[in-house]
Parts: sequence; structure tokens; C-alpha cells
Amino acid sequence: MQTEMQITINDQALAITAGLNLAEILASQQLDQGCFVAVLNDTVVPKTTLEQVTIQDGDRIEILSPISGG
Amino acid sequence: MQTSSWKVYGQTLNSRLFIGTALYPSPKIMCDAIRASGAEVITVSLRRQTASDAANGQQFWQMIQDLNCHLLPNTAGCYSAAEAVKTARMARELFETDWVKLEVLGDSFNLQPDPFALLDAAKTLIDEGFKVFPYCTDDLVLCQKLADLGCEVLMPWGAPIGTGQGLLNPYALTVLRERMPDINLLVDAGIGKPSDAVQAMELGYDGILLNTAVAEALEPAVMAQAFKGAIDAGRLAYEAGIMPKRLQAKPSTPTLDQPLWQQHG
Repeated sequence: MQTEMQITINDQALAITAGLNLAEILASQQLDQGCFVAVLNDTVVPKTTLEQVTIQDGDRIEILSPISGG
Repeated sequence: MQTSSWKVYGQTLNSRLFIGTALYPSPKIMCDAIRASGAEVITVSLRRQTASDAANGQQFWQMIQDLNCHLLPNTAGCYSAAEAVKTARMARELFETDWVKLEVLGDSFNLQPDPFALLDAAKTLIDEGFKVFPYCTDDLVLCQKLADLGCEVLMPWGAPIGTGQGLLNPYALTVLRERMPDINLLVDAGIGKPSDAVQAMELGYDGILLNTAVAEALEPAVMAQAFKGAIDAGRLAYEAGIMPKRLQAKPSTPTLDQPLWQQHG
């Protein structure tokens, strides 16, 4: 039986299967396209290491992309 | 005639205009204006992405890349050093640059930088290898402390962001230039019209960062061209040496050998 965990992505609650890595979660939410940066519990996760980070219950993920600025 | 090139954190630039990418009526108008400005540095920011708006973010990213400018990510909207540091770290990963326009605001009415939080954030970021471009007030002591931390560029405000009021305190900006001759100084914020930019450049400022004055013009690309000319003119005048003001009039036409009846004591 698969265990479920609760996480948040950009403050939105999400139930996920335990044992997934960050890259898999972003792909499942279609948030892995193009230019983005992932932040896990306030720490930036380099794009090259997304697959190496296993998500834990209660983790807070933020995904950010470029926008215009002054 | 071209103005002299200059170096920012080791990077040689020919343009002395940094321009923002916000507030334009359309992406195409933004690109046209930036190209017309001749700017080599553009400011960008970052925001949370959702699956539904991912395409817009990528379209913007593609256009920015096509402009082939240096990117200067900002920490706009941050009201604490911790927020600004976190945003800068995210921006470094996202935009693959260690340049950051450090904004830490202290008041929501005039969007005035918080000098104390700005110093805290600048110290942390410089320790982490960032090249910090602090958006600051024109306070001399604050600017000296930022320079002491290792900021090679300072960006004091001319007036609050988006107000277009020009240089509200030319005296303070003049003193900054006088007391900090070796630091790159750019006026950031408050520039409303090309003559404001000329004034700053004639004071000896190294450059101008602006956004609203171009983006909200009726013809942004034309206004960008106007600012380009103004900044070049102001810089050339500064390099040429501006004559000092005098109280007493001095004839420009030679008086030697004039008929006697035109000579007066």
C-alpha cells in the first residue's frame, strides 16, 4: 500500500505519494517547463540536483519563473 | 560622438543607461524600446509560477534572451533583509548571474529603501559572492557604509519610484559624487524626463536606471531614444568640463580694439 504525504507547492496543499523526488513532483504538476527555480523549505535547489532530493511530509516547495521588473 | 566606455564589476559597458522591463503596453513595445535605448543592462524579476501561466513566463524569458543584454535581477517588493536575501539567491539560480539589484523597502507610501535592512542584506549577499547593486537613498553615510562592505556600484534614488519628480535633492547627489569619486554611481528611480537624466549625468553620475518614464510614454521607443541622447549629452558635457557659474557678466565678444565710444568701465 502506498503512503500519502501532504506538501505545499506555492502555498497550495497537495497530497502526493511518498518517496517521490522533486523532479518527479514538478513534472506531475507540469511545473518543470522552461526556465524556473525550485525552492524547498526556503532553500534554493539547483536544477541539476532536483532528482536527488526526496520530498518529505510537510515540505514546502516554491517554483518561480522570470517576470518583468524595474 | 560616443561617450567613454566604463566598467561595472569588471564588465565593460558602452551604454550608461540601465532600463527596466516592466509596465510596457506590450512585449513587442518593450523590446522595441529597449533596443532603441541602446541599453546593455536590463532589470528583471521573478514570481511564483503556476501551470496555467507557465507559457507567459517562458515567452517573456525567450524575448529577454533575444535582447542579448546583461540581466540585473531585482528583489522588488521585499521589506526585510531575510526576504531580499532569499529572493537574491533564487534570482541567482534562475538567471544564472551573481548581479543583483538589492531593494529592501522600508515604507509603503514612498517605497523608500530601509537603510538598516539594506546594509544587513548587502553584507550577507557580498559574503556569498553576489555583486550587489543597492537601490538606496542619497544618504552619504549609508552610501559610505555600503561601499565599505564591498559594493562597487551604488544606486541612490532621484525621487521615489514611479513618481517622475526628477532629482529632488541635487545637493545630496552632488555631495555623494564629490565624496565618493571612485564608486560607480547611478541615479535609480524618480527620473521623469530626459532633462532629469542630463542633470544627473552633468553632476558626474556614471549612469541612469529608469523604467516608468520610458514604459509609460505615449511612444516608448521614441522616449527611449530621447533618454539615450540625453544621457550621452550629459556625460559628454561632464567629460568636456562644465564652466563654473559666475555672478558677474563677462563679455564673450572681445573688447580689444573696439571703437572708443563702445568701451565702458
